[in-house]
Amino acid sequence: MDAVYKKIKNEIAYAHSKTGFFRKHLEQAGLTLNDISEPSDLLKIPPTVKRNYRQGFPAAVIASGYNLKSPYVMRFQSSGTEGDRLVSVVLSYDLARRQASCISVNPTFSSLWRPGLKLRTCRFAAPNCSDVECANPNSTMESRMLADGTLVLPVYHDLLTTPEHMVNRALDEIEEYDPHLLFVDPTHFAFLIRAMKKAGRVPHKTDGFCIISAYTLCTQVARRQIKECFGDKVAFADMLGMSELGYIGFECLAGQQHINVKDYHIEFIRDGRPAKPGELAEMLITTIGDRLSPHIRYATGDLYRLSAEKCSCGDPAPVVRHEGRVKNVLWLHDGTLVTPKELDELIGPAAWIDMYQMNQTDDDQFTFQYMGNEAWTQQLENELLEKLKETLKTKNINCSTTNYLPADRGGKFMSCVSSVAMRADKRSLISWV
Amino acid sequence: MGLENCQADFPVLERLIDGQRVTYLDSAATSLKPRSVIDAMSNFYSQNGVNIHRGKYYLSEEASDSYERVRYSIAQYLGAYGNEIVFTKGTTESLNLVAYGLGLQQDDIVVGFLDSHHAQLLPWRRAANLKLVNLNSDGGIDLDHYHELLKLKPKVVVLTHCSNVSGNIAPIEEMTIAAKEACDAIVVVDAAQSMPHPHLRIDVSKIDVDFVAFSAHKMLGPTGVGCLYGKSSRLNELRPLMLGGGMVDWVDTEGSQERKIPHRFEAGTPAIASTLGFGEAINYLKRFGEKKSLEHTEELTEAIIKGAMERDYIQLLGTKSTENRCAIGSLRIKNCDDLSDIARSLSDSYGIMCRTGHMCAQPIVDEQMGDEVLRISAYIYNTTEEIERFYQSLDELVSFLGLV
Ligand SMILES: [Zn+2]
Repeated sequence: MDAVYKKIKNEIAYAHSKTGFFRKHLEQAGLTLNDISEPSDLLKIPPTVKRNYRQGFPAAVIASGYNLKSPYVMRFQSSGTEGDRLVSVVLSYDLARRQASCISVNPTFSSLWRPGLKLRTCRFAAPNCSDVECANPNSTMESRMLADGTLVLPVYHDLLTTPEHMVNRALDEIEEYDPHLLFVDPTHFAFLIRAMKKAGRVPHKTDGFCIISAYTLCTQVARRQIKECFGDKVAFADMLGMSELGYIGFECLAGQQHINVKDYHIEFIRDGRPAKPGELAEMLITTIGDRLSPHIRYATGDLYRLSAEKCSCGDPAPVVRHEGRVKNVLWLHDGTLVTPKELDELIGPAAWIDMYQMNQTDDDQFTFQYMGNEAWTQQLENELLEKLKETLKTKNINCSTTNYLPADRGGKFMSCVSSVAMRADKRSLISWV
Repeated sequence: MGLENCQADFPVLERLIDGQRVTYLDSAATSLKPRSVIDAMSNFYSQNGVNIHRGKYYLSEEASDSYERVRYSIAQYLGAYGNEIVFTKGTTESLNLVAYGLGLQQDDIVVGFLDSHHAQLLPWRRAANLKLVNLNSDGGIDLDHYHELLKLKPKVVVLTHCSNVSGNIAPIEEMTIAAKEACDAIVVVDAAQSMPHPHLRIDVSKIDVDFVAFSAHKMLGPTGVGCLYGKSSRLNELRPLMLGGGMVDWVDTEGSQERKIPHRFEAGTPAIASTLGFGEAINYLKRFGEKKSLEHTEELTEAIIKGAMERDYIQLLGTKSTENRCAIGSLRIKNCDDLSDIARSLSDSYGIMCRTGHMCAQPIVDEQMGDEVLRISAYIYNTTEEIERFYQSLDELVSFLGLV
């Protein structure tokens, strides 16, 4: 039997014997462990979803023998917005292993794994991405320090309303803490960079540390601002992750996203069948060797395209392109889709845009708002609008400039929002979530 | 979507009273509500109905999300930031909050206008020394007098974007610039009558006003909720009117720490369903372009002015041009001592709903018209035919009542 399949089978057997949720899940599907005897049988198991883990937490999804106070158990909370809230648990050494597997595709980050290094990390992301209240204007550095040496920098839930004194405090704290790693939401960090320039400040240094972008789609306009500010000597890469599982993938030196297949079994499913390379599909994850809270065929609600090509960087891990969340895709009037990533490719690093948001307000109704800068010209805007109209196959796009784009209440900023994609009937066409 | 067929969105217009269809001409008092707004409120009560910003449970977080999304959407509508939008009970509460929160002294000068609503007069008169700008002979604002009063270096200038009596639209951009140049006065705008019209939307990123007050119920939304926009620097200095739950970060036996803006101004449980209806109203309004909104207003205004000018027995308050005017007509019927008979008959015999009285703006009504007025005010769901029918009905009535 294939070694990988054997590991998956073990994981399924473990989840079945140790968690009440998964045992019931198989029963309800009319399956026993004996029904899963060869790799193609995996498709018989109905995918599991966030809702199952939300309902089952903690009793039905934590393996018997463990509890919340067990050693090495870490708890994560994802934001309570859009019905997506979830408390999940993971063993700290599993998390570290997944992180190391992912990051190994990019040698410029190897400095973070020097033996004996006590890693100092600064995190600049939406407040709900941390366990501390970093949106409180009176919080102190000490109160925002996590046990693993991560300093959570202050920021408001509604990013663009973060007052100047908190921006300055975040910048001061980066200097003072001098992190090896800045772990940032790219849109948030681009905002901090703009505020830094506006205040006449310069980066604390432009060499000798790393920046990882995570949490939301790394738009090319955000990436451009980060690269312009920190230059080429600061290692920068985009990480793929989920709060319930940790690292899933990482960007290599060739700029491709490699997926971690050492710690997970990954499936890409479209219309209930494995997707062809290049086809837009939902990612399903099965953990490997997770003793605490195994996930079997966990439907992520994230859309990907798997590449058939080998990456030029030489790393054998499969290359994917993260297209965005099912809830954020644009549904065109002819039933086709434009993903947040495809939209971002269209906009590109646009030197005249600092931040943007596309909002599908109804069937065939779109609003594109952006924050421009001194490089703006009417012609550039017109050209982009024409491209948007062509790609979205409609004239119904309102395009306007603005000083303010709201984040959601949990603090996340989405560059692409769609009320149509939120509808259950649309979501069910491409996802289990 | 055009204005021409939007009547179908308003369930009340399908109603028959004594077998008669409704012609609604009192939108300056409050607008009708489209189905989507009603559904948003009803949906909240049938599917959720819980409190916001306190609970960690699913329903509460869902309600909080929807509530805050309305704040963001209003901010975007105004060109403001999310933390500059304070939810209030309405324009009146918004204006009181500013009048009492600025810490004015009794001898501080506030410049206001004769054509303002009582809510933009009384709080200021109590908080400071209110000076009123006169109207000119056309019934418009006497801008010379305004510039004259600015020389007194007022702390605050309280503008009314659109008068609810004359329909007159004030040049607030020009007036704001003048107030800032003269003495850097704080500029407070009552936008209750203008905000309902997409073409009169105030973009606070372009006009240097400090505060803008308006109500949901005049812009297709529910009653009991409104908004105060305030520049974040101004809101940070403003003293809350109400104290209590929801506006503090922490309280001990010695003192308390107020929450950051805008939440420090929102003590107590707010009108959650109404706020969600407010959000839907903004969504609905956004579907009408500024151009359509302006054209439709001009047509209605022209019909109102024309009808009044063609009749000797009617005196129309304010300017007689469609320029810078909303579709509001305050009318005096010559020889008529009691307008209530007319209003009642218009309603019961013709199905036409319109207002009589002083319109909460007694100074201007008394000064210009001597006494009460009959007011018609039209909005997106009205047609010029309805205005014409109003005047024809009035012709019949005054004749039967023996007034002409
Ligand atoms: Zn690669």
